[in-house]
Amino acid sequence: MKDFPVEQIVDSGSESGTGGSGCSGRSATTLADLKKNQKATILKCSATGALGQKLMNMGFVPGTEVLMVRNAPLRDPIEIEIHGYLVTLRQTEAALIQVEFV
Amino acid sequence: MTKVALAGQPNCGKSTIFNLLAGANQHIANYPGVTVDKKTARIQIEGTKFEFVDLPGTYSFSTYSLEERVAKTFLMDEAPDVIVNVVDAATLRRSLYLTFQLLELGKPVVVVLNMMDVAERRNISIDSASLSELLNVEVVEAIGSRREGRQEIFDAVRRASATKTVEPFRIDYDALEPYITQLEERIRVETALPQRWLAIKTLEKDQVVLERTGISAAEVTDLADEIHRTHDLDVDQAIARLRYQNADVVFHKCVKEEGGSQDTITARLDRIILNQWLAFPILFGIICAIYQLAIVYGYKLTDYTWPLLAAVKNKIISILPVATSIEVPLITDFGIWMTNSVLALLNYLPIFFILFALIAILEDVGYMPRMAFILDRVFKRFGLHGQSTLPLVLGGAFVGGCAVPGVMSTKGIADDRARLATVLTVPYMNCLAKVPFYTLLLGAFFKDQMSIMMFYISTVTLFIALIVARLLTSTVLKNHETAPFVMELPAYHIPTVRGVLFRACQRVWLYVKKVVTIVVAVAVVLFVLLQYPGVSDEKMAGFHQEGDKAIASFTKKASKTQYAEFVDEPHEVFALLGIYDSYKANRMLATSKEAVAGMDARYLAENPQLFPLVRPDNKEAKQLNRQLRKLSKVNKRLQIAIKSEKIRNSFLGMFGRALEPLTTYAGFDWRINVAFLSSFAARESAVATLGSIYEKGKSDLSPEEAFAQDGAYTPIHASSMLLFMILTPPCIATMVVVRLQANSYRWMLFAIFFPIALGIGLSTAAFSLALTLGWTGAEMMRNFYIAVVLTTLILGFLRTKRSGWHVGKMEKGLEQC
Repeated sequence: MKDFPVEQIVDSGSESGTGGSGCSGRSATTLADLKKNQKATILKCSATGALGQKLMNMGFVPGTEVLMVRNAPLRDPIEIEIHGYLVTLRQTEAALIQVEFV
Repeated sequence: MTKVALAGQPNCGKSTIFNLLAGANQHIANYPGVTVDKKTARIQIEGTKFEFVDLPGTYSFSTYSLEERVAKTFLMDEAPDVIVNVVDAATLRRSLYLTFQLLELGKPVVVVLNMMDVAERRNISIDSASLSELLNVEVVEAIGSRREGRQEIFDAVRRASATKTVEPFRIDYDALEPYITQLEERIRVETALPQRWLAIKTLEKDQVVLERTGISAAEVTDLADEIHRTHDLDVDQAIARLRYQNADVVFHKCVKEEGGSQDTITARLDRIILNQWLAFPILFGIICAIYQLAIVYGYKLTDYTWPLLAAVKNKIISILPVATSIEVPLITDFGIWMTNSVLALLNYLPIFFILFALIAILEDVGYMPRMAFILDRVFKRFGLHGQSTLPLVLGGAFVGGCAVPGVMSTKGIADDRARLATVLTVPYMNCLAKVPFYTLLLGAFFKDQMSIMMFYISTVTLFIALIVARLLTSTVLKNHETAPFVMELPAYHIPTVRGVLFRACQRVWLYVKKVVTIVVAVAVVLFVLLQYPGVSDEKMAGFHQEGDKAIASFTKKASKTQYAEFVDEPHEVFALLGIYDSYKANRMLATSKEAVAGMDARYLAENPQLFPLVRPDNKEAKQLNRQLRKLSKVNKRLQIAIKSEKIRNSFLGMFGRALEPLTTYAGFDWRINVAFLSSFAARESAVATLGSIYEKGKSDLSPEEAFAQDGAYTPIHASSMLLFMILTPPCIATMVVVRLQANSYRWMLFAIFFPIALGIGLSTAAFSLALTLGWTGAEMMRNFYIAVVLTTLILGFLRTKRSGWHVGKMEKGLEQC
């Protein structure tokens, strides 16, 4: 259980029609790109293993609306409101969650 | 007996509900093999016996976190009769995610809607009757903090345990259903668990369940691939999404939210507490306040509690046999040694109590995860976690703390690797009991540079701790399990006095139980090592001769007085000395005139003939009292000389000498070695042991002067000793809690020997450098300080490589920006 192999990017499924990642040449918007007080809807989550499971269990599933609450004073972890509660996660982790502005 | 398991998501107030149900008769242990607390309580209400078990808070029942594994294994193996699912009423939607999974277990479930008051404040109204109807389980409203709902929960649990057929709400997994049925038919295990649940868990590739069903992971992967091909679904995500969709449906049917939940009290407070500019000053203020309240005031409080302990000590000494010659009876020596060892630890109880209470408050309020949020970026660089702040502060970020509560407060750190790294680095912080040692050396060798030296000592420890943490996490802890930093910031709550005091008492008791017992054992061993094989007969005869001479001279002086008949035998003189010493010790504790008068009366009543010599009331007695004082001094000096000789000849002394060839490069002779070795039971002993080795009868010199005049040491030696003491392993009490928190003897041994190696290595290096380059002691300390700070900064700017768990590859486009 110590090592979670890097798996291929797991496709979140049929839900979103927003083209194949990377095809358009423009980078997709992720949770890490949100500015303070911006709202967005989760499109897909590319994290796998422990992180993927944890995010899923905490409610980061496609179709969920999230609100970027604030950055930490040193910028790095960010605070997100999801399902009516507050979650903090690091930028590197937030960058794995693709979103679409509401 | 009805077995009831309490399950719920983190921060749902589960512990409050557990305390509400269990009251004081709780039993805390660990789940087998892990450091997760297992709280159980047995209670009898209206003829029904209940056993409550508090499961760790989990968001779900996957396999990735320790808590989830523990909770799941318990539910599978212990087969509780009823599951009480505690739910935060204010965040019902995501709480249902866990509730659905509990319902799948097929056991009677009671849903407790906790914190109804908070929900009400946020204008969330929950129709618990229709929730009960929808889920087809008992639903109880409760407010744990106000102790409301106890009876209702009991009633519901009793009703639930009586129902035999359970047909709870069932999630329809849609496209996955055929596969679940297919797996259900495959699974043939003798178990009370529902097939459907096992099938769903198998589909989720749950390792614990796979082990039992005997279905290979590869087979499930194939199945998942098939599902992916035919339905374009990722199994895990599909299951999670369906659970959330169902939660959404139930939520909308039972809950009415009026007005925006936008501006909650939590949001308003966070705007200040997590404000970009205010967060650090507030954090700093809170840490200072904790430090001030617990360490500073707690230390002052020990001024009031110490007399109580000292009285106990005097009482014990008064029971022990009195010396009938200059040789103190072994049993008396032993009694005093043991009493000192235990009292040295009990003396810190006021500090611990305040600390534990303050930690409980911070935990209940919800500030802990916010602290991690604020500081994570700094600590991440060194392999630690934002939540490592408090343990390090308690361990002694300023002048002194205590590693015991520091290590104990690491419990909440979510990331196991960072937690272990914190457990192993907290002992490097400044231990309060090391301060007397520092002051002794500083007073002896650095009178003029005292404050700057103290500054070096007290601030260098944090840097050392960071370096060590970085070192450990990139080497021995490299492959240790770590958790992603995804953490809930719970709503702020006002802690209850009851809950806080309860937890503080619980932790203090744990400390007393676990630590003191082991310290007693170690103290016995150390006593034997320091006592045997003992002083040689010739040497002892010499001491006796000197003692006899002093006694004879006293008896001669007394023979001309009215007291002659009471002190003409040596044993009578020693009895007198015993009274004199005990009176002196008790007198120091008496605070008022009345107390002194009462004590005098008591002593007089007990020893009508001899007491007048201790507290003279006439001229003759006064003269003899002067002689008595002299005799007492000689006696003390001889006793110390014997003790010093004993230590020199003891096993520990031999060991110290055996180490000398090695430690001599760091500037330590055998005496220093013995002092360091003996201080392992409690740090305080270092000064005491040094004192008894150095006080060669020059009792009118202060320990500092005795040390400085010894001649064997220079300030460079002193600096080297300081360095070693800074890095030196913590006391046995800390080791015990390290063992508790790391749950392994291997880590405990590592925590003992790694610092010793580091300390010897660094002090040898610094000592040799100082000798070759001609640094003074203070320069050596300064250069060491600079080196440590620079190393920390360099390490801080080096990027850490992520390892232990992997995240999926980032989107290509992302990496470009």
